[in-house]
Amino acid sequence: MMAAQLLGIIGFTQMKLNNFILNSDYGSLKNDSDVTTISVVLNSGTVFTPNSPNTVIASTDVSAGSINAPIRARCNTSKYPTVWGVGTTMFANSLMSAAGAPGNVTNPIWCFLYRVNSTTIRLLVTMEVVTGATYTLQETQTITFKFRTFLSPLS
Amino acid sequence: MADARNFLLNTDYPMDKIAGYKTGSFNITYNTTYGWYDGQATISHSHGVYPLCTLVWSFNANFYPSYTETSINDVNGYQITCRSTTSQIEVYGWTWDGPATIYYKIFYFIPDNADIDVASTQSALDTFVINTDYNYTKLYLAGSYTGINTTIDHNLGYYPMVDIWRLVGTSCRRVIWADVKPGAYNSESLTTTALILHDGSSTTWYYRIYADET
Repeated sequence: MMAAQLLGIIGFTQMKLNNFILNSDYGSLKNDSDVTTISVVLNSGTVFTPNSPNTVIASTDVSAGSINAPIRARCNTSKYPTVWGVGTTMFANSLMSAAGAPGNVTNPIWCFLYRVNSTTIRLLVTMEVVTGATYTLQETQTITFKFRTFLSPLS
Repeated sequence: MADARNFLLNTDYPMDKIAGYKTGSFNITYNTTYGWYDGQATISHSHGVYPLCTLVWSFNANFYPSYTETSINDVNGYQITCRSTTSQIEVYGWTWDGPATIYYKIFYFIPDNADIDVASTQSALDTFVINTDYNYTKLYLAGSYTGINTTIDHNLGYYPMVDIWRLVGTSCRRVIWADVKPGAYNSESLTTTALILHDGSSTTWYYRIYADET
């Protein structure tokens, strides 16, 4: 209302949303934290025996934000250091050996960023593997997400 | 031009203007036809363009824990997505795991090339839209592209934060899943100078690049 009234006073006749840099008739996104970094290292030589097709291989938490607000994120693995993905879920791949199988295999890893509670964000890394086998990671890589969380508009 | 990151608010760059909010819940129930569990909420709108939606969802009304869009292979086994058409917004969920109640919150932007009027979302005088205690998003570059591959130069010299939506058929969805493997199809990736959009077939992307991120 206030913007509309002001525009009326100074003679504008339209309210096209994209014509405004700022418009107090519409909600805005207030950043609830500085850009926050969360990362986890997958170490070469790590051995694991999965018990489900999507096995958690790493998890870490970081404190960021103050309410149950949305996230805007980008993501990277040191395996491809110069490129960042866009989003809260990242696919990458990891070289590993499987006990009893010849050579190495490259399996997809999934990395998820989500809110645990009002102040905690979690990075969870899982791997798609065949259950019942034993795997050994053959390379070290660091998974990193950088993200913002917002105070508005859904608090 | 001074570095936009040094400002809480910078009138050289548009702020994100929220064109709408939606909240609610729906039930995921057993689908006797397919043998899985699914359900959805459908919300009408009258904008005549594709709203660029951001979804937050949870199994709990207090939204702890909460997620952006998820796939069936995601952290909890429930695929919850939000897609928009020119007349409605749909929040859809399915799983093999079992029934559930899904609580959702959505806000959305209007594509930057939409020359339309939008009803105000703020009216109460005591709900401040701008508060200098907080840092605001600064939209550096926004647009859309239709094709298979393209590079959008931003030349910021650092990796900015980006939001992207894809139009598939008549449904518009926020990009959540990133495939960073070189040459991957269906991927959107960033360098310090460009946003790279890459697909296996013709796609329409809506992108928003922000100047206030590092």
